[in-house]
Amino acid sequence: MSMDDIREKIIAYLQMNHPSNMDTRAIPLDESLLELGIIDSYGVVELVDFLEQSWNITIADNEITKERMGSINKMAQLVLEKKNVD
Amino acid sequence: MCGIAGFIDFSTQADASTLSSMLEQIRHRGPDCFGGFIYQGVALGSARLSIVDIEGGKQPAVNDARSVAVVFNGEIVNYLQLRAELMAQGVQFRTNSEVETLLYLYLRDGPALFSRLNGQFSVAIWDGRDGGKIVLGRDRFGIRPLFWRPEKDGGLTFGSEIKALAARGDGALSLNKKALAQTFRFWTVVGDTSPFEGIYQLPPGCTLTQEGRQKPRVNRYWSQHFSLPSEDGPNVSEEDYFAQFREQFDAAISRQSMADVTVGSYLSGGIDSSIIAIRLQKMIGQEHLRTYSIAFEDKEFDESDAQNAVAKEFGFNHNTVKISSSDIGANFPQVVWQAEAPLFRTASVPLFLLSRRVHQDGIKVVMTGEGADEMLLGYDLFRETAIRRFWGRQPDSKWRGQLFRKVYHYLPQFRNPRYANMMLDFYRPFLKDEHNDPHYPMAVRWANGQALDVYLSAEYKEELKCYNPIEDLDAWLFDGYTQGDDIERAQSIEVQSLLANYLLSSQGDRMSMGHAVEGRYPYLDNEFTEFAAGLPRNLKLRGLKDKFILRNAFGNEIPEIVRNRPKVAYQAPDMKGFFIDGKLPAYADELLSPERVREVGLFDPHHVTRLVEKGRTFNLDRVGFRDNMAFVLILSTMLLDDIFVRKNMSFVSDVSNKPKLCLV
Repeated sequence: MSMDDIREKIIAYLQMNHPSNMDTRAIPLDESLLELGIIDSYGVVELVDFLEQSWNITIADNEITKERMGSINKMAQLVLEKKNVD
Repeated sequence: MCGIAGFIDFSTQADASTLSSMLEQIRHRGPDCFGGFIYQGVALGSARLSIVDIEGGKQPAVNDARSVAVVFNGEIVNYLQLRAELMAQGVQFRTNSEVETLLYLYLRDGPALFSRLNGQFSVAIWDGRDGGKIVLGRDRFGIRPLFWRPEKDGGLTFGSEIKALAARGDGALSLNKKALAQTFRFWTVVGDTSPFEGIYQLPPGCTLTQEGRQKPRVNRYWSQHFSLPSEDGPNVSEEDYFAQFREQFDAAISRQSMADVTVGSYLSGGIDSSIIAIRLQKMIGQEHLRTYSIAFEDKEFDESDAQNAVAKEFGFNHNTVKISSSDIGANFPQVVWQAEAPLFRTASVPLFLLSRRVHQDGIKVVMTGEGADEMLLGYDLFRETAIRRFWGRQPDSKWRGQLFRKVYHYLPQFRNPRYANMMLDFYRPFLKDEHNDPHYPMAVRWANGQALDVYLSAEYKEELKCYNPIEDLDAWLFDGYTQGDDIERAQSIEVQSLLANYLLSSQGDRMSMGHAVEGRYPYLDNEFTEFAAGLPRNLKLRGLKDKFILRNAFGNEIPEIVRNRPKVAYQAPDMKGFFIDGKLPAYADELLSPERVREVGLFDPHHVTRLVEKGRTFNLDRVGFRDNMAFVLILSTMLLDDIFVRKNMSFVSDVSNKPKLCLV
């Protein structure tokens, strides 16, 4: 599993569940989905659920931060790290 | 309480059967009798629910010369004073009714009469003198509705509900695309917009005058600042303010409970309605006040513990209507028919079912707590705005933003510390105010609304690409809006949009009058709102404590469970009310199908299908505000199209024995 695969899956999830006026293909990969308005505050809860269930990982409370989840790339990185540890 | 309807026709003699069919459309509002006045091309009618002067209050009221006729819907709580004033000047009354008082007040003051009235009303006056004119007026906050339509021959049609207008002429209606854009942004229409093309609402606090065939003029007769500079100086103690508050509050309840029939009270479980019920019971000396509550089978929405605790403590004769999730979907079409507007939540449905129960119990009048949050600063919006400003001054601060958790403690994403840090990024783009936005307090809500534009079709977006709904909002703002600070501006916008065009209408008038039940609103009493506006700010919002004075003015008389109960927003199941075991009701399946969505042309079929799929497959406990709102807005708009434009579904008021129209 590569960064690209994970990214693709995250983007597909966003297209399905959090449509926005921004073309999902054009979402900057390094910007916060919350700040871009693509997800609302409750969207964070849905997003954590999605990541945990899709890759069978556990995200710790101190990882639900802008630093670890604040963009598509950061989330992909987080998933990759966790899968590699397994 | 009643419904009114009428028209001026410049081409032909007005006929009673048209007036009768218009009234028939709104007979749920006033099943007791139909009254009408017809003169040449003019017709004025009323469908009446008798509450004050049950025998004498027949409408229309007409002067001896038969040159002036008045119909009205509502209650004028200061009419006895006005009547006494007119009698002292020699006016001889035939009845003890409000409508006759309005007639003589108009004969004395002309259209200026509206600024003398305390109450809830929509009024239509035909004045046949000097070439003839029609005058319409509506109460300050828009408790009672009034719509009008200019006609091709220079005439005009008006009525309490759009259905009445649709009963005159060819009956064709089409949806107003600008109204949809407004609702997607502000949650409601604004200004004089109605959800239907070519039909306007008379905005609250306004009059309309049309002389002869001239163009109608709409004027604002009332405008308010909600934070007046205090005239009391520094010597008034908090205790003094509490005493004034008790006096003003009780006086408002006493005025607003005026009726010749039994008055009941809604009980939400929150402080606003609880205090009304407690004081009302004390004042009318009735031992077992009848109270009414909504309970939900779904615990997420249910507040019956709080309701029952208050009812038990004060010995109310308490009645509860229990709502299941499937009640929402089952009753939604009829609720949309009543509301005549796109809805962004389903919270109207339980209120419609509650008024049915109240009606079955023979109660015609209920007190309700609307307006407390606007007048005494209860909404999260006010605190959210204060926190955004505070955080915005130090955007790097690690803890300033944490204050949001105190405001939104009831939302799972804020309550759960797991998500709390990240949550704040949602607000980060809304901290700065580089362009001195006059609507800074509304920025978060409106951006959330704008995010829903994705559901609108490409054709729709193309057609409205030059339309900015904020211009229609700005055109109707209260005088002096920009001089107010953040909190006062937020109050003004809430009063003019959410309160007038949703809480008092889609959730208020249309839901209670759908079963001939009249709501009474002590927090929106003229004298009380003026008093509340003049209170020092920190007696309303103290730090992050909302409605401070209401929570404290009555001391221990109000039990702890009521006083310190944190604010809970009244909500009903949204998507959860439609997807029962993953299945939509048949009508929703049809209306949300790609074929129908494409045919209507307002929404993007792909995104609607995707949202429906999400509703079918997702754990709906885990669906956020945005999806819920999109779903309810789309379905209610598709229902409006189906009911009013295509006329596939039809509803009639459940009032049998249609009254005969009696002409005066």
